[in-house]
Amino acid sequence: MIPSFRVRLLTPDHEILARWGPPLKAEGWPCSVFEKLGELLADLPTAQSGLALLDAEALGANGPAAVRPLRETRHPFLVFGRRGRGGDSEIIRWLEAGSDDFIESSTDGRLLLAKLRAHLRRLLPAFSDEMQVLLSPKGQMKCDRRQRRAWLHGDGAWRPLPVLTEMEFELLCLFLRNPESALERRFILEAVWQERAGEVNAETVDKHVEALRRKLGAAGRRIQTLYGVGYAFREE
Amino acid sequence: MLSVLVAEDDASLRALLKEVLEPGGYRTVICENGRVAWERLLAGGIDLAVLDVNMPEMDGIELLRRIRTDGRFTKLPVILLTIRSLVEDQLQGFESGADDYLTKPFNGEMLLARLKVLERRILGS
Repeated sequence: MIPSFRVRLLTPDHEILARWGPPLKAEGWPCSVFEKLGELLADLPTAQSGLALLDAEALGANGPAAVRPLRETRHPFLVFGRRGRGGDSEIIRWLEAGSDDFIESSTDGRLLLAKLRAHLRRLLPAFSDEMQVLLSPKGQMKCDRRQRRAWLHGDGAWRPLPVLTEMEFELLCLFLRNPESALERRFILEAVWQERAGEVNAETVDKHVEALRRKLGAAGRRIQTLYGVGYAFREE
Repeated sequence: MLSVLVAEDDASLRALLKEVLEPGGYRTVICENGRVAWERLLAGGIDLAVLDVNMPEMDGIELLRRIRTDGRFTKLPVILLTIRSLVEDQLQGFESGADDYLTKPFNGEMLLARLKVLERRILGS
């Protein structure tokens, strides 16, 4: 988790919170939710860098004018909404008003994260770089999200791990983002499989964790089974 | 005036992109595949890129990966164009380093609006 970075989400829509909240949380990005733009704007000076995700419905008909304070402070913001209301013209209106993107409300959580990472590469490159490489608390393991590779540290050098599948890699990243924390199977399922979580069962998590442990070799012991709960990543 | 590199194997789309981008205030550098686009990029003077994904000789994803791993072009803003609208295809595009992704058929004004967003960032306005 990077404490000085924050996502501010403006929406009264619980469906959006249910769909996007878990992937944002699993990514390790602190997220504050607001129902009114004024409350979000008042919160801006209280934290360092961040990115605002604004529900077009919550901004109302005068939306492009309402976001002028964000534009003037050059605080990055992206607008989201339902496609069809105004179509391309509305999207273009938001982009011309200063929004860095327009994202459809139905967007898959994985795609939302991919788009946000792409924006952060441009808007907050220092944070983006920091987020790309995940390091375990004692510096014994690291993952590079750009390269989709992982390494173990030993005898003064980094040794690459065998190539991991997409799920194994995402699992390892989730453990490194949440060290020393008990992660329930349900949470792991939703964080890694996201929209596909409903298509798989909790035993699938166990299978992938076992496969990951095998590839980690002796380091696989750091992924500890918490019986009746799930797993936790702990370094000796 | 900013220069946009366009890589598109369909001749009619190349012509359409030129018709959209030049009145939009851009100078266009048009290429018919990824290999030619890469060679043109090496010659310098490119500020933004619009790349088709499905191209012969070198597709847009491979071209994008070369761009992102070459220290001279890591910051080049890139929009991908493709008929492939599946989430997995878009994820691949973003994870390869795309800044934005438009599915065909696309609205010319939308392409211009999204290029202007990237232009805002590179000019810091």
